[in-house]
Amino acid sequence: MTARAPVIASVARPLIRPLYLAYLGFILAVLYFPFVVMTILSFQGPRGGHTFPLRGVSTIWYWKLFNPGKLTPYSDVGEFLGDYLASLQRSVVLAVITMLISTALALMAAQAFRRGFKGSGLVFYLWLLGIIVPGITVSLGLSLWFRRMDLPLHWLTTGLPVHVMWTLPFSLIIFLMFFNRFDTSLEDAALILGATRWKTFRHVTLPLMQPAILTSLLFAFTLSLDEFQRSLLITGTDQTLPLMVMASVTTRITPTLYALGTLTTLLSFAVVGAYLALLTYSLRKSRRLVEGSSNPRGSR
Amino acid sequence: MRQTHTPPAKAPALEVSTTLVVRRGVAFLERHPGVASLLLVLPGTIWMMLFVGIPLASIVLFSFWRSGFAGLVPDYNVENYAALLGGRTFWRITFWTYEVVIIALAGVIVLAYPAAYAIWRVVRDDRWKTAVLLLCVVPFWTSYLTRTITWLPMFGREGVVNRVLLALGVIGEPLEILLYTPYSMMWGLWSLYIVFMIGPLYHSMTKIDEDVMSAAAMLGATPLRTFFHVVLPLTRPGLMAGSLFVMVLGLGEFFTERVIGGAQNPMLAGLILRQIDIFQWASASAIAVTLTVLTLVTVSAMLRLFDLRKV
Repeated sequence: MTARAPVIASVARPLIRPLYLAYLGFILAVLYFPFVVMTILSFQGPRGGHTFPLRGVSTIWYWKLFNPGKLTPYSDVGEFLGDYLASLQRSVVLAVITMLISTALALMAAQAFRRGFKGSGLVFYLWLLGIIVPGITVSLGLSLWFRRMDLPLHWLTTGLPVHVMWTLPFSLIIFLMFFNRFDTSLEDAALILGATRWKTFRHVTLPLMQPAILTSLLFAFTLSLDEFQRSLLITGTDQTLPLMVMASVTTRITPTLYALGTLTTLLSFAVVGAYLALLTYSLRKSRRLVEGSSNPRGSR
Repeated sequence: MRQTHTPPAKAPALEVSTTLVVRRGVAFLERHPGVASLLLVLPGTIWMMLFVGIPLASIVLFSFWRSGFAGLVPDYNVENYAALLGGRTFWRITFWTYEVVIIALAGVIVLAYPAAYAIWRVVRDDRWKTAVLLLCVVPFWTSYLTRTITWLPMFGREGVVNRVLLALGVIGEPLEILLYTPYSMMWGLWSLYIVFMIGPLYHSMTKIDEDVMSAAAMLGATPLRTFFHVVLPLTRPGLMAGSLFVMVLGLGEFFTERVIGGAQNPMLAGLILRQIDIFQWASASAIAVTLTVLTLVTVSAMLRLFDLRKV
């Protein structure tokens, strides 16, 4: 580089930091400002619409959310009267079952992948297909097949396989990433001291894996809670929350949707908050475990 | 759930024998780790084979059938493909799909890179780093649909942006291109996908050894040179992982296009949905097959450049 470059750099340097920070602020604003607007509009007055201006302030849209199907003096013909809370309940049940199955199956498979086995590359890419294959394709293919087989469509029985199929690869990747940075010295010590593989796994590996397990649970839960592309055509009449949201968006948008969005966003924040609290706790515990074994190499 | 049935009466003899079997089984697996591996990986693999395999097999099969009034008719033909590949609409929409996805990807990289870099180098305090990174990734765990819908009151004719611009006197009339256009769709996609890029990018940045950075500085490399010769190559895995996400999600995208893109310019996934809406399952299957093939080709081309397991 020429001699001029450092000169330019020294002139520009004091500006670079504030510029970067301003840019970060801009990105955060893009990510969060719409939420703020949505929350404000969820308190829209009873005669107001889904955009500004605010025509008064009310909690009627929240009331409608909790009292589905009940008409008010303000109800009009095209109003979407679906029971969002029932579908939220279905979605949460489905997400909890999905996260447990997904984490358990991926945890098992990750042990095999760590050790390596014949054809592990091929099997890994097979799992990856769950993410890669477009959701609408899965939905279409399965719905046609279920109908051909005369299987009744139901959010739990036909929905669960698809939800787990979608979250499994994520869980596996989380565990593989964890083992990429994993120090095996504690496991080796246990094996050398005569512990069986099972005992080593149960008493050494599994406690150390707690952060990864929590992460997998979080990913599987939230991915399932939000899944709509794969379950679009296969949940039958009782829809999950995202599908009901989709249906109402394509018919008519009311501030009820914003009330729902505000509540579910708060729910998501609560879930992430709980995850972070548990994660800090488990990280501290596993660090104590490592230090307690007086590992000369210290942490990690 | 309520537990209504009473637990079965204890059968001591049986219990002993099951423990024995379990113990023998465990001992066998201890001696044969290969068999243990197989048993561990099998349940998940079978699940994936079934629920990826069945839909793929059925769209391939049904794409050669005919859509009748009451459903699919097993009348084998290639007309679905002939009509699809022979018509100009399909090619136009395919090119449009790739155009959208590539612009979305390029935009996401340009938007996310400085943000990840700023968190890594510019934010100094470790606690602030974690906080800002978290704020950038938390939207990932909130609803995709909700995040899309929140742009409606922002961009509409009466939306926040138009009102602010009108109040400031920047424009005289509300802008019409802000909502229900390809531009608003692109903005929606960027804001949705940026989360997938900042995370992996930052992850691979933190893996860069601090010594490498100081070595570059000591040897007299300008920040720009350091960036192109050190940081960029070393963050390639993160960049590729993020790009993979954006490509895969973008190719399957239909909701953003429908809700804030104005539903005038469908992409391939949207085209499938429109065929389903008019009960053309066979031709929907044919489009689904082509979309899947295109996605697989694109992804395997990208996977050739890096190994996802090493990110």
